[in-house]
Amino acid sequence: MKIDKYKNKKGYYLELLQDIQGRKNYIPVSLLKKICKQLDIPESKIFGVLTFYSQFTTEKRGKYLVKLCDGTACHVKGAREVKRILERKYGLTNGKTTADGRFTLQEVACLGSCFLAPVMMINQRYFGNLTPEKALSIFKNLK
Amino acid sequence: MSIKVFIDNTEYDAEIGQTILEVARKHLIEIPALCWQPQLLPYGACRLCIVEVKGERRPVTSCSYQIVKEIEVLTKTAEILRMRKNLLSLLLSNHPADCMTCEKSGDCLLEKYAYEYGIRKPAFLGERNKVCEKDGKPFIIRDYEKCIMCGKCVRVCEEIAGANAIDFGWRGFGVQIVSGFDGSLKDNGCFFCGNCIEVCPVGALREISAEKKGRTWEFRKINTICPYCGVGCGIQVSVKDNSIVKINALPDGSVNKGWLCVKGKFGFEYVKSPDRLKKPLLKKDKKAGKFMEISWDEALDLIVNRFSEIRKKYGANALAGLASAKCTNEENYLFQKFFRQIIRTNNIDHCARLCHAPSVAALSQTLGSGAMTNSLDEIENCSDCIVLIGSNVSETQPVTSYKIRKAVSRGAKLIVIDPQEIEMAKIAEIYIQPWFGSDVMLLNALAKIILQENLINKEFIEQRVENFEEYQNWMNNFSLLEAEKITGISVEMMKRVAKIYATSKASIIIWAMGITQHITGTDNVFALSNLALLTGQIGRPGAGLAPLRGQNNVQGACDMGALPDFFPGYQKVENPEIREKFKNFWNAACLAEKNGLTVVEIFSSIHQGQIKGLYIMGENPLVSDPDISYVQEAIKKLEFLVVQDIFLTQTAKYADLILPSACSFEKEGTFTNTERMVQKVNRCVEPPQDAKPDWEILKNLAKRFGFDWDYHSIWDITREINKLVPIYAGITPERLLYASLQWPCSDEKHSGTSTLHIGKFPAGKGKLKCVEYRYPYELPDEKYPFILTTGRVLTEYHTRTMTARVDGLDQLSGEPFCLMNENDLKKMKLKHGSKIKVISRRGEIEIKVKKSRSVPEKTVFIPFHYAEAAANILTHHNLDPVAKIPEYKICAVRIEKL
Ligand code: SF4
Ligand code: SF4
Ligand code: SF4
Ligand code: FES
Ligand code: FES
Repeated sequence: MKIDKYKNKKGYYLELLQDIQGRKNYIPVSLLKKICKQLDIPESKIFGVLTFYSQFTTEKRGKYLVKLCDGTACHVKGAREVKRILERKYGLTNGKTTADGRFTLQEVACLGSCFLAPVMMINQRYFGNLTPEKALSIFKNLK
Repeated sequence: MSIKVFIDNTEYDAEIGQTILEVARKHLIEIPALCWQPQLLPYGACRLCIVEVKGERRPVTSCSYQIVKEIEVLTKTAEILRMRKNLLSLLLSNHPADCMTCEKSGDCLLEKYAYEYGIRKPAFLGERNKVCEKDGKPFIIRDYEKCIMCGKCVRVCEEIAGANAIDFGWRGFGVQIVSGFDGSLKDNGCFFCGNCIEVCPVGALREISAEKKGRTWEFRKINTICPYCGVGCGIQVSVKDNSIVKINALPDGSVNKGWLCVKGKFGFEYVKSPDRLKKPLLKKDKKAGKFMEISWDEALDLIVNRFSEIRKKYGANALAGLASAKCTNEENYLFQKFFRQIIRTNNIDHCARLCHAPSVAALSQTLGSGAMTNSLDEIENCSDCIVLIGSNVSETQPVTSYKIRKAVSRGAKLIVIDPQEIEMAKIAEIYIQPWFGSDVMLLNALAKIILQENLINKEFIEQRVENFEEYQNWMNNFSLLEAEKITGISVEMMKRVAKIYATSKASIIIWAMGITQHITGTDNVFALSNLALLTGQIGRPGAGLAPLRGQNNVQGACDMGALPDFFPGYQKVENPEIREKFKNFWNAACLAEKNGLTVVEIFSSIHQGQIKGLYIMGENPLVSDPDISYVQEAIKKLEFLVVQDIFLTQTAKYADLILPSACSFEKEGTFTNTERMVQKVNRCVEPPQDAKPDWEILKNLAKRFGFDWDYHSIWDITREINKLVPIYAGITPERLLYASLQWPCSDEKHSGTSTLHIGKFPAGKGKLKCVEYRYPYELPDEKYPFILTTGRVLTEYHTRTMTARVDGLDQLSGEPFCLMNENDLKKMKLKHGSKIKVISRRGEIEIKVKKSRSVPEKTVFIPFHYAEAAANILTHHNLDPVAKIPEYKICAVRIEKL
């Protein structure tokens, strides 16, 4: 990763973190520590920013971040079944990344698209009106 | 400008820009405040300090509300009291409130305010933010369950210490103080200055050492001075059952303004070490090195007999004494008096020779006085340009580094000049990295630029400087291009430095061992003094020359004449009138007329068989002096060696007789800090068993020699100093009870001197010195391709006799190490932590190597503290011809893999 552009720039912590997460899908702690050393950033400061924003995670994430909604609307409309089938077929567990490094499951409260319930998001894309079958076919089509 | 403020209907005067809280505190009007800390920038987070200001719609936080016009303030309206009570109640709802078992009880602001506002139980009983303890080992407990998020620790760590080891993390209700990735403080670059503990209003941050030792009301509290470095921080010592429980910083009125460093805060465990010497010890047989306990009577008799014998056989000059920069002024005074009056020799010196002799030698010639010309406070508040050259101040005088940091945040320009990229370089406006030992060249180049670009201060030169023409002519032939070649610094960069230095309103140059510990040490200081004289950057608050003194009382030991050529107060030994004055006052039959020998000369004299008996008070030359094997052989040749110390040092092992002395927590007296401030030292605990304060030992010894040294207390000695030393004349014991005083202080009405040389130099006019550049004594070559440079580290002190006996400090830096540039390590296929052999023409040591980016390539940095891998086995003992200081900063070595 090129970090020279961050040298001698004040208040760039947020940008830097977004940059890393954008590339890696999560923020690897060892990488961040290395960058801190190179740029002479106190680790406490970057950690302060990192923990302040909920968008960042230091948990290793798979290639696909699956946000599966379990808000009221989705719950009622069968989000559980979708979850169960993904658990069984792909070994997804909430908050964990699959062993092959492809999927990370994050259960969330509401994705703000209840009219499509049940809903999931894979990276930046929404998928609505899910059934277990539909979910499986979406997964199959992922590279 | 002052304006009127009405607080609770009473009129007060305020300065424009003062906050309401400042005015209130000044007049003892109580306003509760949790996140306010007078030495830090206002923050306004806890809101407890709210007051009503007429005309403002809502209550304002008095800690951040600056007064700019006449206002009316109400601090205790029913509404304000209700709101404060609410705020406190909220804080307590998220607090364990277990005051009955809390270490901080009695000293906790939250507890105090809860009491004052009558809160028995928090009004809101809800969920509490569960935060667990975090790692602050080896010194700090971080019990964040008690944290009230005032943010003071974060601010002090950033604004003062500059470590940035902690910050706010998470958000909302879950917010807490974090270190990077929740790691330990140690792994987060914490300096363990303990200043976060000092400011924490509650029990969230505490000293590990004080855990379960009792609470504030059980301690006896004594104010005294830190025993370590030349800053001379004021400390408050909490004592229970004759043991020190903890040490806090003294706030107002002290040099340190409420801050400390790791040694001052945590480094006191050595006082109670079982290794302390407790009885006089006599060597039983020379070879085996076994000692047996004897009584004080026997010990003193032995000294009288042996010293008299030696004197009879070889003459008085066969005896010599090394005084101590750790002992009080009074003790050093007695020590030199003992040698001059009773033994009748001037062979007295101490380790100042090994640090600032060049500063003293050079400045006494050019200005007439060798001390720091300004106060530390002036650096913090007045200097606009600070040139830091050859001083790794954040390691060696941390509290001074806090002051520089504050100056920089106030807008002062910091210029760091050092071959090592030291911590302070991070906040510098300009950092330049000249080649080792090229200082004279660099400084001359700056002078040349100042002349060439007409940056001189004409008026100042006309009125206060002599031999300007001569200097200017001499400078004609100086070539900036050659300077560029030798220093490795571009002319352009030098021009920038010269310009900032010369044109700032008040510029100060701060230096330490990086300037003095060279064979050109004196020349280096001459070159610095030239800069100040050419630009008139001296003799005003914030403008001057500041040699930072290392040990707690090295300034005092010099002042007291623990020097071979000066009586106390820099009165020349070779001046017959002065000799007459001391002779009469001391009632001495005669006094030696010739200057005595310096430290390094004393050891070569022992080698040559001229000196036979040596008395060492609180020094450890076997680690601190250059070329140790040389010193070791010398010491073995002595007929009689007395060592007076608190521990069995490496040197003491060679002694024929060892005398146990009291440490500075166990006696009274005065220390003089780096800025000439004389401060009172007070007894906190009793010395172990038969150990005695050094002054008592010397007094008893003098009596044994048949001299009537009738000092009833230490203060009788202080009074004698007042009479004999003009610069100390007004610094009487009575005055020291109330305030510290900076010399010169000519009489009891004189309020001391913060800035030296206002309007006039003691030498009359300032003298410019033409100094030619000379190469260091030993430069790298094919056989020895690396430069070895020695120095100090934050968590160690001198030869570690004290710091090695503080467990936490030992954990942090107990093992000897050296630093090398990461690129060199790569080239040599060495790993961080591998062992290497460092070899010079004098000897070799094995040592662990650490990777560093601050040390330049082809260089090894070794802290001199460690006896097991003593850097001074490698250094050479060639001296600066004037000041007789050895060149610790440069010698050539080679590195071998192990
Ligand atoms: S001890 Fe000093 S450096 Fe360490 S966290 Fe506290 S304030 Fe910061
Ligand atoms: S640890 Fe102490 S100083 Fe730091 S924020 Fe918490 S209460 Fe304040
Ligand atoms: S800066 Fe010096 S005097 Fe102050 S606490 Fe540290 S060692 Fe002691
Ligand atoms: S509840 Fe699932 S999108 Fe709102
Ligand atoms: S003391 Fe003023 S807001 Fe905290």
